[in-house]
Amino acid sequence: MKIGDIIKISFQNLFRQKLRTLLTIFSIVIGATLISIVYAVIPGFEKFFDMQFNTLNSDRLIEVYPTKDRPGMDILSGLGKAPEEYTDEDQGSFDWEFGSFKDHDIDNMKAIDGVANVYESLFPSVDYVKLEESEQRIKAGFVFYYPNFVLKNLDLVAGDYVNDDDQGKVVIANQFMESFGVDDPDELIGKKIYLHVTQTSLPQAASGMMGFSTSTPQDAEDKYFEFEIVGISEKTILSSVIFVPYQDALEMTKFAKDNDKIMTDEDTDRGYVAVELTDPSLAGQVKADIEELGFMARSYEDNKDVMDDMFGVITIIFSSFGILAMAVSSLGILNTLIMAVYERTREIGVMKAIGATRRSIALLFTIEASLIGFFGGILGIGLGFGISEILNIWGHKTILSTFETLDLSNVSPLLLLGLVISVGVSTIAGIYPALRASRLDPVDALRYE
Amino acid sequence: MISIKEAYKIYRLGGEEIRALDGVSFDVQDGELIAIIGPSGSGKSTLLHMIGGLDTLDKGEINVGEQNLGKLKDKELARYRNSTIGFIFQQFNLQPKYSALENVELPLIFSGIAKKERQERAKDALRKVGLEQRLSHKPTELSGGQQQRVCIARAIVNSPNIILADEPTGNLDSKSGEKIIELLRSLKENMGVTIIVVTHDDRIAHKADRILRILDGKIVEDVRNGKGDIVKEHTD
Repeated sequence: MKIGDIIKISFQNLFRQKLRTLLTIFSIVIGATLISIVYAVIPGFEKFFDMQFNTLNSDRLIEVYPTKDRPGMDILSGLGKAPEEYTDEDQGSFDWEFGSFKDHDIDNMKAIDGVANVYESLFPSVDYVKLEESEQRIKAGFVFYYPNFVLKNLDLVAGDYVNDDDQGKVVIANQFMESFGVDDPDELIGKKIYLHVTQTSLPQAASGMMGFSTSTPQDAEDKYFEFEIVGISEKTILSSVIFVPYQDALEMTKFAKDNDKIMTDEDTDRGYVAVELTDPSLAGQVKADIEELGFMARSYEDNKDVMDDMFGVITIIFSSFGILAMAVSSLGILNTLIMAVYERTREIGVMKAIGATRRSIALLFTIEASLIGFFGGILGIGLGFGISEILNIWGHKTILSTFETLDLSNVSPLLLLGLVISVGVSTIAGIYPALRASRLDPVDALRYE
Repeated sequence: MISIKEAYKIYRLGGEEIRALDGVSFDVQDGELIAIIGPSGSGKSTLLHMIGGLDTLDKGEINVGEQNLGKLKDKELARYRNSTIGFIFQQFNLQPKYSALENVELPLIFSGIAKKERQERAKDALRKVGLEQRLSHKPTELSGGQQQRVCIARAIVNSPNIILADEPTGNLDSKSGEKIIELLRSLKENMGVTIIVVTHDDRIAHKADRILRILDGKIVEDVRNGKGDIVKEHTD
């Protein structure tokens, strides 16, 4: 029997009980739709975050923190366990030590083979910014110094980058244009911008890694730091970021904390170092050397792996819902086909009498099941993609309007996975009815009423 | 030639032993038209199924030409049923959704013949049974007699050596039945095919070259040519 004839006859058989077949197909559609949505939406997020991830990253970057383990990790690992005995090395019940780099630490890292340079990052606390000839105060959430070799991976829509040894120059996030009411990025290049910093008498209060502005004491001194806008970045999720040169960041931090010892051995907040590699391929070796110095080091690959793992897990979880839905609907297929075997018992007898082999009959039923999966899968892909397209259009008009590059309806070969899985699941569901049909005794089948 | 030797088939129904075939032996010459008669449950249909390769004997053997049916594997049996045998059923057993032409094509589909040749041969078979004007009719659009002729066309489309007919006129009025008998007779004469008919119908029995009467799984009479009187009194 030719495969083309088997498919044709299976197809005809499929639509003998139209309603029953359609209901069975729709049950598969649900699972296939879920899987298709997952594979249309999640790669979009992945691509988007990957892009964001790469804008402030470099494969020549190793991030270093002054402690071997993340502070507070022993809180998590100790949960549920019997409290341990206190030893003289312990400092309190939990290790809550963030640590701080010293000058010689930086020198030691610089001495490692494959290290081009070592940079310390600075996050001065800025309350707001003002554009020249304007009284409008705009919040600036993230003002920081970041080494030029990383910053260069961020695309600019106008102007130029700030160099590590520049002074009085800034690159501002794209979204500031909207806040300033400017359409043309070139219009802002060369303009003065004033960063307002308030001094706090409590040295620790306004510091911290992220540099969020805190409440302003009544007697606080404050000051505007003047800069020239030299560059406007592309749109990223860091919509209120301003990049300043190292020297300025240092001055602002010293002022904000009213502390001249910033970035000396007496500063206890030197918590982050960016190591520049001479070549990305040396990441593994350099990372190991840094860890040997007693620090925690994270390479570009480490961070990327974390993100990839996260998306992998999300994809698996959501696809599992789809596969689960399909597994349930495979019972529907099983039921449909067992009914069909009963209904067609006599017909199967006749087919055997006129020369059908067991294999032909088994194939007729298996392919019928596969076809249910095929049509369910095709409809599921269409529906899934349609839903994600609607989500995409609706999303960009509402909550996702600022994330132009986030595409929730990705067309990729991964979409076919929904089809492959639904055909696979359906075909497996068809095996038992097919074997049952093929093993019918022809004499009994011919007598069947 | 069909040769049946010491054929036994025993069924158990509710603890009771039914000897459907109880040591049956006979030979059939090529081109013979044989009527098998006997009361219901006497084993006629079982015998037909055995010759058609649909069922297997408990003991004994059936040889058709060079082939010992008991030794054939599923695939070989399917090929045997497809190309050596043509079945005709009392209930016609046509596919209701298929046209007459598609129904006749079916055995050729199972033997893997390409569509164009299939249709030619199916049309030819329908022409032989006088239904060339009804190719695209569905079974429900045909009379009982016409349906049975489609069934005959399906049986002969693969040019079998043997036609096995189980009560072919059982569901037909006498006039239609008459035509079917004529058709079978002419097939035998024109195609030289061997025909074995299980029947209650005297008229078929009368047209047969030979009549076998079965009772309780045994052949009780084997009569040749024109000795219909003897047979008649035993039919029910």
